[in-house]
Amino acid sequence: MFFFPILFAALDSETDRALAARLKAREPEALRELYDKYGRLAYSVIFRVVRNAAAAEDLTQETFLRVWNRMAGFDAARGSIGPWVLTVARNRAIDYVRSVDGRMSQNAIELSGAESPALFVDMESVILNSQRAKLLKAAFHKLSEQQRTVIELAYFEGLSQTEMAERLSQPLGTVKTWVRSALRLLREELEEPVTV
Amino acid sequence: MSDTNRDTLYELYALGLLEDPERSEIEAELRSGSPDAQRLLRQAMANNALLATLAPAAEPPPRLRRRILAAAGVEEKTGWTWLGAWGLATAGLLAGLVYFSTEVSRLHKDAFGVREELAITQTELRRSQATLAFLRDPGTTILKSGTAEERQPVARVFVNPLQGVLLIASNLPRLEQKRGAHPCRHLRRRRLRRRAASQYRRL
Repeated sequence: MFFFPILFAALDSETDRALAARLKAREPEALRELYDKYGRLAYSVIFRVVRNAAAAEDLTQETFLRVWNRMAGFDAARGSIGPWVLTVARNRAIDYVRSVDGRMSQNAIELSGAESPALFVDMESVILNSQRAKLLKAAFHKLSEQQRTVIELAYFEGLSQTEMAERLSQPLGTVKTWVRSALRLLREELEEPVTV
Repeated sequence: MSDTNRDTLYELYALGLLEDPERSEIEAELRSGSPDAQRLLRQAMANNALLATLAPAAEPPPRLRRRILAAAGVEEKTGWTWLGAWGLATAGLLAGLVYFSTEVSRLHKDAFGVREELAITQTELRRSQATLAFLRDPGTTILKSGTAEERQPVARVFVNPLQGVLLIASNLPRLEQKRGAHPCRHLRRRRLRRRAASQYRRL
């Protein structure tokens, strides 16, 4: 079951910028709204990564507190709050899994650096809307099984390409080819390129 | 490096998958402050965020919302808190108790009034029966004083050597109502008396 029909009716709202401005102004009601809007999706992403309900709760809480406490650095006029929340959620979960597994990849970039609020500006109107989500879902199902596997391993398990090669018992070159071709196909299938 | 390859490299970088030497190359571009590099990274971040929608739906427990708001120092606004619900239930129970105790008290009063009326009626019935028995007794004789046409007090005196004397009078002066007495009872008694008197006259 995927989120498209239910969730994205809310995600593409033009009110996100107003919500971000209210979060920045530390309005308590805005945090409630943020959770009501993105809490379920953030929890689902985290749960998919950690596969443990108690850990997923803790990490979802950490995600929203991190966003709440870092709103000062967020550009409410240009920023995109939804993608930021989801990125923070995914990164918290990947960090958790890596720490539990003791597999802090040398090649993986520092995830906390990849969730800087400055990276989430000028993308709101096109990134999280139902049309693009449907396109992505359709595109994902067009991928080969190997391509889908590596994308899921990369996004939901945070494996590096080397780790994927080991997990799948495939040559690193083959895994790299699957990953890159999958990303390229997904990008091409998305009808409207992201304007930044 | 082609544009397509650059897009892919930035996506790999954003996913945390890119390895050296390509990773160092991307980081150098970003450090240079290149607007194009920033644009590509943002686009990659946007596409990655969209991948979140591929996660199977999972429902967070309701307590998680409360936890997060409490941890942020935000009081959760709920329509009905347990305290409120208990308060309402207690208030409802008290209101119910007051209502039922009032109803029970009222019913007690009503029952008492009915019993009192019944006792009065039984007493009057016994008196009427005794009066009737007195009048029917063959030993009772009638003594008259005055006539009904005179609109003055008229009395009939029934004398029974064995049972005593019975006086039935009419056109008597109006009696002052006693303070605190129930007017309805006086009316009822007067009505009963008039009815009895009428019956006696027929006799």
